[in-house]
Amino acid sequence: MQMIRKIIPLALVMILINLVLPWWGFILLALNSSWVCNNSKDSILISAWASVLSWVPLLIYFNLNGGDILFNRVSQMMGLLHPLLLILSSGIIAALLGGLAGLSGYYVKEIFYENKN
Amino acid sequence: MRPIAKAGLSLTILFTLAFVLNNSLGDIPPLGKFLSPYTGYASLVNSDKLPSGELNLDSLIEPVEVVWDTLRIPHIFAKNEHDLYFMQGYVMAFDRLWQMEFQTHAASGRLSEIVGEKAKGYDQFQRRIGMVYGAKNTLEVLKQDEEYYPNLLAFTEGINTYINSLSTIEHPLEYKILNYSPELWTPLKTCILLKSMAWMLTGRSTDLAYTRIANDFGMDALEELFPIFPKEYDPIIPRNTPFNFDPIELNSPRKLYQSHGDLSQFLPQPPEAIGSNNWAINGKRSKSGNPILSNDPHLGLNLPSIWYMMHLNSPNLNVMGVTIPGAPGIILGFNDNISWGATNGYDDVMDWYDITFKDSTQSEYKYKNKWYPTTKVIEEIKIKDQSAFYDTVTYTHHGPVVWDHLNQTPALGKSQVRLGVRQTAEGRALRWLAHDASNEMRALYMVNHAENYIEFVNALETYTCPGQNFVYADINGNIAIWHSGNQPAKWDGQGMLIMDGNDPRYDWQAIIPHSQKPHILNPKRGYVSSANQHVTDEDYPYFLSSFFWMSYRASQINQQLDQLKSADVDDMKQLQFNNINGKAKNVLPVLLNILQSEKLSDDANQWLITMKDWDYKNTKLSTEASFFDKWREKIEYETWADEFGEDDNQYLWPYFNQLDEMIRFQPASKWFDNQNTPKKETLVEICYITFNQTVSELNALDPTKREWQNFQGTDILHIAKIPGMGRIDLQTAGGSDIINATRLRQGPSWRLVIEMDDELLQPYGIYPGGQSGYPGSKHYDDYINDWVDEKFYELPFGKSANEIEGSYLLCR
Repeated sequence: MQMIRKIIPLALVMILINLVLPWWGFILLALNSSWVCNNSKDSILISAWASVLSWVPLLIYFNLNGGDILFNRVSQMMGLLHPLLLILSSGIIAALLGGLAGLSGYYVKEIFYENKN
Repeated sequence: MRPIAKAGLSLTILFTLAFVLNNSLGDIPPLGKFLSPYTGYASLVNSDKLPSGELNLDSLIEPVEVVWDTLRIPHIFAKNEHDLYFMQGYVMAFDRLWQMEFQTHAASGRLSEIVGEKAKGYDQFQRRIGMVYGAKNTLEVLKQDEEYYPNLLAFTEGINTYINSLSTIEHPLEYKILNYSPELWTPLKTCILLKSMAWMLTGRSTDLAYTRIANDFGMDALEELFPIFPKEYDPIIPRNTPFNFDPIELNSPRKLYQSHGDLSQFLPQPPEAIGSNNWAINGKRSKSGNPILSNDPHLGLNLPSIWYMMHLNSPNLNVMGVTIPGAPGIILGFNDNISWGATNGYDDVMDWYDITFKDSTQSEYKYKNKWYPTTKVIEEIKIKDQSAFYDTVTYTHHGPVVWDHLNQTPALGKSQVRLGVRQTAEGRALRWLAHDASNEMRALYMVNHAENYIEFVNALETYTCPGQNFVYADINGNIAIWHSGNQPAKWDGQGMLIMDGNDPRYDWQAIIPHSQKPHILNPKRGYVSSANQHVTDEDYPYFLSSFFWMSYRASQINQQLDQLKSADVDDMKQLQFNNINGKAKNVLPVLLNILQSEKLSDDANQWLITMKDWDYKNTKLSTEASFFDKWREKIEYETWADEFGEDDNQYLWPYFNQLDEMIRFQPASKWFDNQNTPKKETLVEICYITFNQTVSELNALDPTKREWQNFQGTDILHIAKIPGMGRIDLQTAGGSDIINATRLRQGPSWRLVIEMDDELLQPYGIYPGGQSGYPGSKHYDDYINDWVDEKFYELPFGKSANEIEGSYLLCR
């Protein structure tokens, strides 16, 4: 529950930042998620899920609202059998980048703690 | 590991991954950018939604109304020509921006900028044939045309206004897939686009193949197998039509120059089915007494479609039809008074000259036995993610030297690299009509405005290349056909073989005067027609080409039209879908007669009975059509492969009408003998072998696969061959050399039937595609099913915006 409370605001800020910055904007936020996390696992999970949430619901919304033909064609182009797989793969990429950024951010945080100690 | 090391490693992986996902890898789009819902493909959802209400466009002088009808055809109503062409550019770019730009990039040899090194050979070839050189020559003429040029500028401004209105996120899908951005449009790009159309339609060049056959088999064999006038042909201008003029006198060589032939590779040849039909009947043959015109140009079929339908209206113009995205005006269509259509003329306007250079610097070349200076152009081919490649192209008065010794320019794709330093004193130059300064856009502009026959003919005088058979009908009851374009006046056989670049008698000495071009107005037979066949009989004083399409389609059209005494629009539509296979009709009775049932297996006998009962129609469900097609292919192979090989980069096989004549009249022809066996084969042996082979191959197929619609079928691929963006396995009827000339990758690219009723025009049209170029739109391919189902759409036409139903936009 506590985790969800962190994921949702982070996802919302990611959505906002993605409207302004290039596609990789959400990675910058994910890098900073470690400041609200106590361990590396949390940091990875929170960043990954927030990233997924900033991408996947929007993709599903587009797919259902006028995007069915496009999603079908793009899935075929990418050799995926169904638009759901396309959305899933996109989610995996977002999760991978977000999670990795969360971890990196946590390690950076550790450097600060190490210096403090 | 220390935290700093862990952080360093982890950040390195993260940034590397982000960097990789931000860039394309070979053919894979930049996945991060492309899959992100904020910047990728998904951000384009609903981008095909038509603008409605009011749109503010600063460049407009007066308000313009645009109505998109239910077929999504834009109808533009402007109060002056500037605004009309501005809006045409804007609306066209809205639907087809990527296609327009990609086609010009491809034509001008700039694909490597987009797809990388694999296109280098292609780009180099496009540069060497002088595509842009010809376009620049044309642009110079356009700039002098004070009346027309402003229209092209307005059109360009319209396109650029649209491009500038787009943010990077709004760039069409293919830009995202291929990871690049649109450039601003220029008048030169429009010229390049028209030159690439000229290449598509006049690029068929058999000079090298014929030269090789003449050298290796003798001139007699060439004349026998590739006759300029075959025994049977049905010319566009009916036989015995007198040509009452004094032809230009031409200086021809007494003895024909013999090139050693082997300097260049074959040009990529347009596929067999590129051809077209058009005809018009007059009141004598129509039920209503009005002329009816019909046209269906057969081209390579792609998505987005080569054509875009539009209706343009201004105070002095009301014209509708199709144009190529990127070209202003209407190319094929109708206005309030006239309608017109085209089939490819097939004049030989592409000739090759052997060039002798003084030395390997290629600074001087021999002409009239003297040395003349060449000019050189350095072509910079920019390559994505690599340093640019430079190619020096030498120009003679004939044209660019496309091939020179040692380092042949590859025709397509092969990665032969030219060295910067010349190592040769021999070359082969290209003389191509599309290199000439010309003004086709003015010609089409005049055709769009033409109100009667005289104005139409005057308009065609300006038309240069690609030469077309323009069919014409008007509301005053006239029908006509004009073989238009600047055909060089040639002596008999000129340009059939590679020519001597030194001897001026081989140069193009004159252009056929407009009044001497083959044409016919209101012939007695009550119709005019063309299907890429011979233009005239042998009485016409100039040599036009050594290649015209066989008359199978033309004869069928004429036979059908001869029978129609009171035709209506539906009869004309029906005729476009006529599936009679003229080849089969000629040869099948002879072939089947050879086969004796006692010498055949049960399976073969069954096919023999089936084939004897065939009505010679390539309908969708016909299995006989599939059988015949396969059998014909095998007979051709058995006849020609032993002499002319399988590699079509060496020789050409004679066209089917030659084999057709041999089957019917010379069954013992020496060409039937297989050179690789001691035995002397005739048609009889070939007939048995190939029939039995065909039986086993067809019987090995699943029954539904034997149906013609599945055996041949049609695939309409995306222009850049991006998977998933095309439509494949369409179940079509028809075939090559059949009026309904639908094939695997080519077919009727636009169908028009129009009755020229002076009270109310009745136009019907369709093309295999859709108006939108956006692959996510239902309008991307929404005409295709109806096209396959052999339907036409009634085209809404009128004089004001309120006559057209649909989505309305006011621009000011």
